[in-house]
Amino acid sequence: MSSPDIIEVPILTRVEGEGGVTIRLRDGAIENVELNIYEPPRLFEALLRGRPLEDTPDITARICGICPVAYQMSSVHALEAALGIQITPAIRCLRRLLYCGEWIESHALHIHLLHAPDFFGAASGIELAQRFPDEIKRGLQLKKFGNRLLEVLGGRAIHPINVRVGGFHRLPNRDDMASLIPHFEWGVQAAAEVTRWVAGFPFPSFEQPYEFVSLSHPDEYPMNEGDIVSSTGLRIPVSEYDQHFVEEHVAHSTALHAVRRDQRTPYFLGPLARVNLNRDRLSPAAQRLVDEVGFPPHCCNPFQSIIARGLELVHAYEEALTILRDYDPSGPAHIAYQPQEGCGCAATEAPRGLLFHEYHVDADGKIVSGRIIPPTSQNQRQIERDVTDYLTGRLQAAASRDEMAVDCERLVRTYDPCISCSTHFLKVRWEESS
Amino acid sequence: MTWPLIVGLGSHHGDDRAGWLVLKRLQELGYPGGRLVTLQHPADLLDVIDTEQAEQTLVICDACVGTSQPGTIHCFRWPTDKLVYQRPSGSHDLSLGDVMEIGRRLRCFPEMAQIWAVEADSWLAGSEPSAAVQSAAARVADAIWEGHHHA
Repeated sequence: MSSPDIIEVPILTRVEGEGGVTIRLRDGAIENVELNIYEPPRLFEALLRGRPLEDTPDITARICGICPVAYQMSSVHALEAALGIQITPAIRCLRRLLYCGEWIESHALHIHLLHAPDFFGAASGIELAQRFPDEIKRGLQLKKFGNRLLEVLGGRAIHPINVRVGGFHRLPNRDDMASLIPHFEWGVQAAAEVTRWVAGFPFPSFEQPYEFVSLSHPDEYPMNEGDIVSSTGLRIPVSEYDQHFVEEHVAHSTALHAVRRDQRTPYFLGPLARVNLNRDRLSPAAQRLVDEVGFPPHCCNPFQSIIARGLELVHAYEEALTILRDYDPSGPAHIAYQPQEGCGCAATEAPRGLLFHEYHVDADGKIVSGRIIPPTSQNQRQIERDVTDYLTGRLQAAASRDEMAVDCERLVRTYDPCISCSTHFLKVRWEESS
Repeated sequence: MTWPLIVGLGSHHGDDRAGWLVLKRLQELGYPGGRLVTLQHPADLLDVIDTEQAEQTLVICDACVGTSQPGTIHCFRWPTDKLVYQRPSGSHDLSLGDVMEIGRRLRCFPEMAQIWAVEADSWLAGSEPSAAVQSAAARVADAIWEGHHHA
């Protein structure tokens, strides 16, 4: 048997987290693709043990600077399930508003500075800004108002400090909330323009028979609550997550890989999955855009995730605007509770997909154990399979090694991976037999 | 009289406060508070500078780390000078050079900016700035004040 030929490809930027890809070719065909996550384990679950449950949202928020709200939301919902806390409709609404802020800042960043450059052969968002100054400026403005919303409601834009088990530490000032309304009125229109812009990008032809997985709620687009559903017909309460999904350790990654428990198959999370499974619950403006830009009813092209992100950007701005207009700070900021022994889990929709948390709490309100399954670890196996299938096609089309390295980077970026939820770069490494 | 917008970059941690100290001293000298902006991250510049201010002069004060003695003052003219100085930063951060370049390409930053950087020593969380940096920050403020009044 021939031995592998190793090829090093330069660092891939504009991916959040530190990791690499090894591609092994044998006898001219792709034998194996590995997404290598070599960041040291973060050990957040161990850090929580023995600490007061109240510390959990602020500690887990530190897992990521891009999506701290997602960690706060999944953790407080899981702990409230453990303690039997029922929050008020007003608090529930404000949590959705906070999530809107995070989706806005994360999606606006990824669309304009991380992903869009790929469609124009630009090396960075800075380079793209030269060619599309108005579009990038608009994108930065959209992101800015998402950050501003997080400041008003969460106390600060990065790692908000206003979230607590049972609700919020304090309710925001009515005037501060009202001051955002003109910006969000502009944002709905601007986000629609963004979606029209990205829908016209030249997309590679690549479709796969994905199993899409997301939360789904009968009355609203999924953020904080809902059943777990999939495109193969699965519908389960979040409490049955472990019966249908399992994490596996792989030698080449410090992050666990999640797969479907029975079939051991990968699945696909994130905006594309959410839109495919919940498009009829998008906001009115987003639904009109779905038709206007001709977004397919069941889109299976991962490169078109950028359109799904645009649609969610519109949705987040429009839903946030509705909540801002109706804001009434007369209710309680949080629900009081007594510590008690219990176990609870929850899943919410981080910008990159479903984020599962589970906690055991003792009678003194201390964390006995915690478990966190972030979206990128769930997408890893699917990313590997996509790179294998996509590059197999590119090999058959006689693409050069350099072209395929770029293709690999672009495909990985469509997932907006937040590798181990801490960002930086991804190295691509090739191994090929001679 | 047009007062240039002056931005102090930094944090509460040790000598990283240099840029903020410059602004504090300028305010004591009588510089209008509305033209002084303290920020933590270079990327925040994109939030405070917009097209309406594109024609105005921009001054940025920051701390830096290099090979010189703590308290050494560097002055750059952007974009003529390359922003070669370093500062501790997170893996998510855009450098000041990147931010200035984005601002230039978006045509929302001034054509020219003056950047003052004070060589720092201690970046310890919560610590006080060193005497050398406090002294240097005051000298930078005085230089900006004098330069503006003699312009």
